[in-house]
Amino acid sequence: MHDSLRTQLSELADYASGNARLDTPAALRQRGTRRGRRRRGGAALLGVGIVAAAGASIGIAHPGVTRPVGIARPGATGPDTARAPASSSASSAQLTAYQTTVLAKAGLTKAKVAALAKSGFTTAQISALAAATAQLTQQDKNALTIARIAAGYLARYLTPAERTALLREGLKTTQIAALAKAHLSAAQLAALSRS
Amino acid sequence: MPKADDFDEFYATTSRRLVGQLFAMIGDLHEAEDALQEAYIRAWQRWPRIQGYHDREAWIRTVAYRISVNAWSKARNRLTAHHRASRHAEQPEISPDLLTLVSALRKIPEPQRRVIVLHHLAGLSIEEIAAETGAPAGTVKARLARGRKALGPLVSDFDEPPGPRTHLTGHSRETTAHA
Repeated sequence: MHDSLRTQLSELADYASGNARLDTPAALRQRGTRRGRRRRGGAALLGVGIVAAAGASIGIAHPGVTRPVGIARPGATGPDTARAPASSSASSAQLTAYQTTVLAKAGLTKAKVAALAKSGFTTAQISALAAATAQLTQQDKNALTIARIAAGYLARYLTPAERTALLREGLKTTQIAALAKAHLSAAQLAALSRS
Repeated sequence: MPKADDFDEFYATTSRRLVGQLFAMIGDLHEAEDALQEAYIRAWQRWPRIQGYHDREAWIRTVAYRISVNAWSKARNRLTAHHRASRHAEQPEISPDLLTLVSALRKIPEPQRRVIVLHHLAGLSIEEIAAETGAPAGTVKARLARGRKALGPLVSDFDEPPGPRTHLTGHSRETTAHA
């Protein structure tokens, strides 16, 4: 029985190997390489996109806390809270001539910026918002994935007050971009919020 | 960059043998082809690592088998086989004896079928089968005994003279007598 089974199985295997339509090894290699390239390309694109769109908002994380510190909610004043990068006039709460020009060109009044500052926006949040909105306006409907990720990421870390302020002020994309370009320091934003 | 020559040589020396073993395990030639080719593609993607394996053939066989038993893969392969079948009207013929064996193998549980093929066709020892399937040696022995016992009555007419040729098409098999 065992020998007979072995013989019959061998015949079955011979049948299969004789009739199987297998691709050449070169074709399989090509498929494998193509597939690997696609995966690597996709991952790289997604990574670059996230970094480009949302990276500006990713600060130094609190130890053990996943929430980016640069996007801390208003009132969070821990000693390790990451501050927005200081501009040339970081020590002063006064806006520089360049900042005033940029904001004025975009039609942003001091009251409007102050309203945003009062709601607790940080420089990092403004930069991330600008990057996300820029991508949303540049790309077509089918290529919004990265911008959507960035927007979703940003929305998650905006307080209700910040979201309300954004809607109330009805900022245009160009105005958000101008805000990011002006790169207001934390001290400047704080001064504006007190005004 | 992995060495293509090594891979090509490995493919040339093992693919035909493995497709036979997989066909006996799965019972469908097209599925066996697809699963095997997919396993080789995955092997190529990891070739620098797999190249150093003691038994690369066992790796391919295990991966191909897992691919074939994966439900999603099965559904996809079925679709692929269906499309291919519609493109190629001619199907390889199979003798009634072999068809009987295929049917008998498909009637026994998959783990028993796998063990039968690995032992009687691939020539692996109980310990080697245990290592490849991840089952204890005792379980392998039991599956082998039960599989043989189950196959006994189903393949009793093996040695009858060859009969009419039969067409093997995808998952539905019909015996078609040639005039």
